[in-house]
Parts: sequence; structure tokens; C-alpha cells
Amino acid sequence: MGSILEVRDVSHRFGGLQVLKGVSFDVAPGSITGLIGPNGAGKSTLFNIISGFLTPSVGDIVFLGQTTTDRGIAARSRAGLQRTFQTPQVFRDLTVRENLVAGCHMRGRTGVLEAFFGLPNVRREMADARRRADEIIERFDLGPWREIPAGELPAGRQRMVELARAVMCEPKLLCLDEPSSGLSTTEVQTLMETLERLNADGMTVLLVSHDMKLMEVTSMVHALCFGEIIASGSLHAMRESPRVREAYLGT
Amino acid sequence: MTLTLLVQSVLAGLTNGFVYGLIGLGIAVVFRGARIINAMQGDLALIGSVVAYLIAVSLGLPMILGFLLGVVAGGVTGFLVDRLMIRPTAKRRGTEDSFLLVTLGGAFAVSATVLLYFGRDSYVLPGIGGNAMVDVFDAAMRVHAIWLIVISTGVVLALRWFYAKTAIGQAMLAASIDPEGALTLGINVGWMRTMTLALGGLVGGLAGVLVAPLINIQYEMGLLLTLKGFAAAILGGLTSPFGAIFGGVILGLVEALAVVTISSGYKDVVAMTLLIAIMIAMPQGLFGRRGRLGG
Repeated sequence: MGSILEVRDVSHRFGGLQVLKGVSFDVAPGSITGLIGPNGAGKSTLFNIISGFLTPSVGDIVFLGQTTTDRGIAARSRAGLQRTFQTPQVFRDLTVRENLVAGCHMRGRTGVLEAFFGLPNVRREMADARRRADEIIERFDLGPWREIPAGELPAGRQRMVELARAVMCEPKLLCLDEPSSGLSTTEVQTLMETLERLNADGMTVLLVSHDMKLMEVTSMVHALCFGEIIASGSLHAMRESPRVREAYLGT
Repeated sequence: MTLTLLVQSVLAGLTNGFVYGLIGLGIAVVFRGARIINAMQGDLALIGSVVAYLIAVSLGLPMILGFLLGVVAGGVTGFLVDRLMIRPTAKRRGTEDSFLLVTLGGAFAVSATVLLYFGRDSYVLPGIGGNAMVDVFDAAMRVHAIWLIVISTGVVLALRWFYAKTAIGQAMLAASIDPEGALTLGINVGWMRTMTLALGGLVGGLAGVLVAPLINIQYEMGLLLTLKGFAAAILGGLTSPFGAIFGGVILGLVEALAVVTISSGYKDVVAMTLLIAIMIAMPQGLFGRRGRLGG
């Protein structure tokens, strides 16, 4: 089986500023692939191009063998590419469980009339969604906060809600943007365990972060610096690479 | 003041209150689901009532058909408002104020159109049960008013169920709370807004066919209803269907009591003073609290 995600020769410029220069890399199925780089390396831009928030000036994003460069955010999500945000973006007024249910289910164009008239169907659908949400809530240790509005939870827990909500969509590729930012050391530990467990269950993850500790869960790392991939390999190899040390660690 | 007079004014207040509440309900639905203040809500009711009048009175077709098509006309108008006015505004990165202005313009356009074709006259739409009355503690109440109250209550309960118990209802809420986050979950945010406006339109059309037998149809009806409905919705916290009806009833009762205790000329003064006082004391409205309570 080929790659889940292929980034093909992507370049991007904001006005006169060249942010990405011919970036290419793959995400292999079943891997946790890391993308590291210092601030301003172009990580976020690349991430936004992958998830559809930006269209690259040049190059293509190929997801599951299909060119998705011009597809919208929602379409990519429905195809199985799920992203999270650097600052957890939960539906603040909805409870933890409602957050999960709202995410996974009604994605298409059908709707309101069916909801009002197709009662048994709608009920069954909702019951299924709730059952799945409850399972995932347990897996993410969110049980005690199930009925609490997500906006009232501390940042670390909101991150877990966001992650659980993404998992609820049954993504083929989970893209996480700086998931450890704002988390305490123990929370980062929990996050790492959660990611490893998800990966063991077959989830492919693309992890974008400058947090080297978090990168310990990855099997493959690409180092981005000034818009170019300067090295690829295991995290260990990255730590040994003089170019990465120079660019990223500053030593 | 006799007991009968008191009961009579309470009944009148209750009826008017549900009228305001029904308009407020539509405003709350649209605000909750799309963060748009729809200044056309009263005019959706005007459209609904005009369509019902044309079918049931002008064409002489069965009343029930007029009612149904009046409601549908509201829904279709809501859909068109989104497609023709809201969507182009949103595409050009319009803000909440621009939506308000656009719908306000739409409200005047509807009003002017009705003036053009129907003139300044008012038209009477027959109510459910005709003009039949029932006695309540020696005071009289129209059967239609009772139906208005029953149907409004039913609609509120249905909406409550819809938002709490259906996945699409929750997706609609999600899309309004955080459009960007909703997009990344694959929710079709634009379609959710269209559905919200259509739903608000259906509620508006229903309000029209239910209200017209009590207050008569004329071209200025829309804006007057929008003002009172807006007050009701704000009292209820702007996002709560239940709150909108409750706010409407409070407004209606205060007005009615002001009429019997002070004078009818001062009813708006009293009602709006109360509104201002409540908003100062409870800026989130009676059921506001970020829109969670009251389903």
C-alpha cells in the first residue's frame, strides 16, 4: 500500500516572502510521522496547506492517492483527513459528549426535514452516535466531564476533547498541530500515551511540533527549516544530524 | 378594577405575548444557528399571512391549505434570504452588522411590495374556529388564541428536541459556535446556515398565519412585529427558543396590565422600561447564559 499522504513539491509565498520551497515528503500508513522545525520554519503554513486552509502557490497534496490540493476543508475531513488546532478549538457551549456527536455525524446535505419526520431513524442514528461517543469518552478518560460544557474545562482537557472529537470522525490520517502547547509535563505524558495507543490501534498520525519530547512517539521525522526539508529519518538520527542541531537546536 | 377586567387583560396579554414570542422564536432560532439578527422575521410572518390570505380568502381554497402554504412560503423565503442576501454578504466577509443591515433592507422591501400590491388597507384572515369564543372566568377568549398558544408551545418543544436530540441539530449549533472547527469536522457550514434560515422562515410563516387572524394583515405589520419579537427574544436571552416565548409572554402581560392600570398610550413605555431594567440587571437575558439553558 502506498502513502496515506504525499506532499509533492509544495512551495508557498505570502507576498514577497517565500515561506515554503519545494517541500516533499510522505506519510506512511500506520506511522506516526513528525514534522519538526524552529518557529518560522513554515510548519503552520504547511499544515494549513495539508488541511485545506491554504492553497499552495505551487505543488500538490495527494491524499489516499487522490490529488486534493483544490478540495475544501470539509471535503478533506469527510475523505478522512482530520486536523486539530494549536489552541484547542472545541464547541464551547456544547457538552463534551455533544462535541463528539456534533462532529461525527451529520455531515452531508440532508437533514432538517428528515430529522423532524423520520423519527425512528433519527433516534437510532442518535443512539448509535451517543454510544460511540461514550466509548471514545471512556478511552480518553473524559467520563467525569461528559455533561460539562467543553468551554469550561481547562486547556489540557479541552485538548483531549478536541482529540476525542477528531477520533470520533474515524479519520484515516490524524493531523495534530502543536498538540502539546499549553500542556503540563504530566499532560504531555498522557498525550503521548494516548497517541501511542491510537497508533497501536492502526491510526496514522502526522504530528507537527517543535516539542522534541513529544517527538519520541514518532517513527519518522522530517525537519523543516526556512521552508525546506533539511533532514529526514528517525528522531535519533535527527538528534545526531549536524544540520538539524545547527538549525533547530542552535548548537 | 373588577376581577373580570383583570382576567380579560391577562388573557389579552397572554395572547399578545405568544404573538411576540412566536416572532422572537424565529429570531432566536436564526441567531442561535447562524449568529445573524434577522430583521426580516416579522416580514416573514407578513409573507406567510399574505400567502395564506391569497389562497384561503382570495382564491377561496380550503383554509388548511392556506395555512400550510403560508408556513411553507415563510420557509422558502428564509431559504431565499440566505441564498440571495446572506451568502453573498458572507462571501465578501460581511460582519454581524452587515447581516443586520441587509435583512433590515429586505424588511423594508417586503413591506413596500405589500404596500404596492395591497395598499394601506388591512385584511382579515379567518382564524381557527372562526370567531368562536370561550369563557374563562367570565372573560372571553377567542378559540383561535388558544390554538395559537397550544401550537406555539408545541413548536418550542419540537425545537428543543431538535437541538438536543438530533445530530443535525447539534451540528447546526456546532457550526454557529465555531464555523472553522465545524468545517474541519466535515460539517457543511454553509448548508447549516441555509437550513437555519429556512427553519427560521418556517417559524416566521407559522407566526404569520397564526397572528394575522388576531391583528389583521397590513403592510407595516412586519416591522412592528419584528420590534416586539426582538424585545421578546432579547428578554429570553436571544438564543433560547423557550426563553423567547417566555420573554414574549412577560412583555405581553406587562403591556396588558399597563393598559388597565395606567392607560393604553403608555403600554410601550412601561414594557420597554421593563426591558431596559432587565437588560441592565441581567445582560445575558433571562435564559441567556451563553445559550445553554432552555434548550
